[in-house]
Amino acid sequence: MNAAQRRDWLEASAACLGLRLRGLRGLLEELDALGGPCRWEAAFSPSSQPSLVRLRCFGEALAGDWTARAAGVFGARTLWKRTAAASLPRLSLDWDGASDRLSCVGFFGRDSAAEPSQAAFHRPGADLRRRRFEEVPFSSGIFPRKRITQEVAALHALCPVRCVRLEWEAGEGGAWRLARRWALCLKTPLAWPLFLKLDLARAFAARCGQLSLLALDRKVSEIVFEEDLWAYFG
Amino acid sequence: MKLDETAWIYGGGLSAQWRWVCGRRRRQVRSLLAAAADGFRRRAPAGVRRRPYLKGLRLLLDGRGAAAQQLLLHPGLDYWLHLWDKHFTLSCAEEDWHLHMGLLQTFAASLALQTGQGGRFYSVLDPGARLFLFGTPFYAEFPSRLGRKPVELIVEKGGGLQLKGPGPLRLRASGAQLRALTPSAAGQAAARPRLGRLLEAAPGIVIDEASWLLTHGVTMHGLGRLSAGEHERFCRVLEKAFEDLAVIAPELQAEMTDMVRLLVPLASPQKHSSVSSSYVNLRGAVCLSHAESPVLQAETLIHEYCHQKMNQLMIVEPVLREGQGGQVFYSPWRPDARRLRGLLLGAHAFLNVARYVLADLSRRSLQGKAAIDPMLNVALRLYQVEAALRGLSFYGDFTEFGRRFVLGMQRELGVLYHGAQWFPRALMREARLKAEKHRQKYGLFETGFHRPADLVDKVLRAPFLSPGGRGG
Repeated sequence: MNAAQRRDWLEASAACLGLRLRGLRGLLEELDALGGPCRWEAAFSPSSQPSLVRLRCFGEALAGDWTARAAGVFGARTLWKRTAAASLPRLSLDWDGASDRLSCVGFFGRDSAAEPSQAAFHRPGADLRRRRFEEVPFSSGIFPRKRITQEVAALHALCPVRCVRLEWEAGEGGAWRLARRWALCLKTPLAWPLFLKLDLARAFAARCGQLSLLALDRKVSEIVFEEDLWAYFG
Repeated sequence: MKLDETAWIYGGGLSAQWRWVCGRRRRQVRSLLAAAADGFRRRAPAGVRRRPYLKGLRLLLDGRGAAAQQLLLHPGLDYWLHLWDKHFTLSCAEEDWHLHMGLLQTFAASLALQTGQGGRFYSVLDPGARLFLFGTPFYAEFPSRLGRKPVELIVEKGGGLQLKGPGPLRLRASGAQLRALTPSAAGQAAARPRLGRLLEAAPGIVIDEASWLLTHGVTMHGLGRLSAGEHERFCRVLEKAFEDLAVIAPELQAEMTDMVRLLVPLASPQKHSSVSSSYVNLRGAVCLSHAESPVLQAETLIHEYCHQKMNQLMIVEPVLREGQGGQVFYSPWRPDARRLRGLLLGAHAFLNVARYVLADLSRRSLQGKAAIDPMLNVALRLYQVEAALRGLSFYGDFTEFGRRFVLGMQRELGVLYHGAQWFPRALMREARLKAEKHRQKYGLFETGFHRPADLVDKVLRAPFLSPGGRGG
């Protein structure tokens, strides 16, 4: 989505889902004012917190210091000089549409082109959370549970998976441990209605009509698994 | 074997492909029976294992020839395997083991009777105090207090039958006596033990609503509980329906009479309405309420048979690729949503129904008012099938055969529209509007999704061509 499409989407979501997004709109306008061609993706989750709005911003052609300036909009600093891998966003944010408040903002980068990409997530009133990313090709040995392997294999047969993105979180003593969050990155983005028919998307069935009205024919690029399932589309 | 989709869209008769698909199902059944034998040896209580139940199971497993092949695909055996899988992989009471294994012996006894080989089988009356030789029209009925009691079945080499038990009771009939029995429905409250012969709507297709094994799984609608006279009438109309099918759709009728073994009368919930159902664990059984019209009954038979045909085909050819069960879609036939598989089965069944009714209309050369209802029926079905195929083509991911199958159905639909060209335009319009009204009510705008009850639509839509703006 470009900025104009993102605005339309937010308006429709606010009206249909009863969300309060004035604060978010203001922040996004400030980010838009930083300039540069941005590509936005939003995400839906079928279950908890229907008022949580998720957005993330990609910008392969954005200036190198864009992330640092964007962090300044939130009163934060980035930790890295270089941008993250192109498959990762520059910035992600979670907005609570019930209270019209920022829930979390993340900035992505890395120390050098040879280093893994990382992200720093800021939550108001909470410690900084750091994550490191690793992309691995999908294979049957990745997942410990047979059911997940079978479902992902069925998805991969219908809609090829480019990679599985694992997340590592900073543990005690500086060691990294596997986080309870991972993603399937699709090789070719899949139109929202075609994504919904997948077994993996069954949890969306209860809200499919409403979400379809808001996602329209936009394409799903990534499916993130954490406490809930999130489908990113743009 | 590469399947030819044209043989599966409409009837293809008892072709090599039909035999191959049936053969694959039989192989599956044999494998399940062998697994059941193994499970019996390992898990059955000692008292149950002392009975020669495995002998009957082996007879079924090893049986060859037409009678054995038919029995392997009998709806009763389908349901028996379903119950085995559901209950007998867990701990069960000994009397349940006796009932289940005893029921299996009736299949073996039926095979022995049909092949003239004779044999002795230890069975059990079902909870209704009846015993059915599945695959034949013959049954035995006892006073209801004798339900679940043991009985010894002796099949004589000359084709006769003896029942010893329960207790001192005895029944016997020679082969000629069995064949001479007047057909009558079971379940008419037998005061004394008797042997009977079920009514048949076509050779090998019995009418029954009393067999415990065959009706236990009939849960969607109530059983008909027909009187003797009502059974007779139910049978006569269905006989006519099968006769008409043999003329109008002979390939379909040939498949139907090869696969369908049982017709179960259902109660109609409202006067002048009909209900029908079939079950994935009771393949070969069609459940339907009575109607006086052989055309309506033929439609119902075709509808339910087509579902079963597809279920059978999909054992060997999934049509839809795996992994697409996450969503439900608008169905032109229902207010509630359906999965892609449901749309596929519905489109297939009603395409066949529309073709049949159109052919019947033409054959009988109906004119004027007599033609209106059938024409409306055909027209509505065409629009409904079109809506279902639309949904399927929007969202479905198909196997190679599946792509040919769905495109083939679309082409056949086109052909049927040609067949309906002489229908009055007002009638076609009425049917089209009815279908459109249904979609507006239950579909999500112009998509193929179902419209959820809680949809909130406050999306601003751009105004187009306001009257003042047109032309400048």
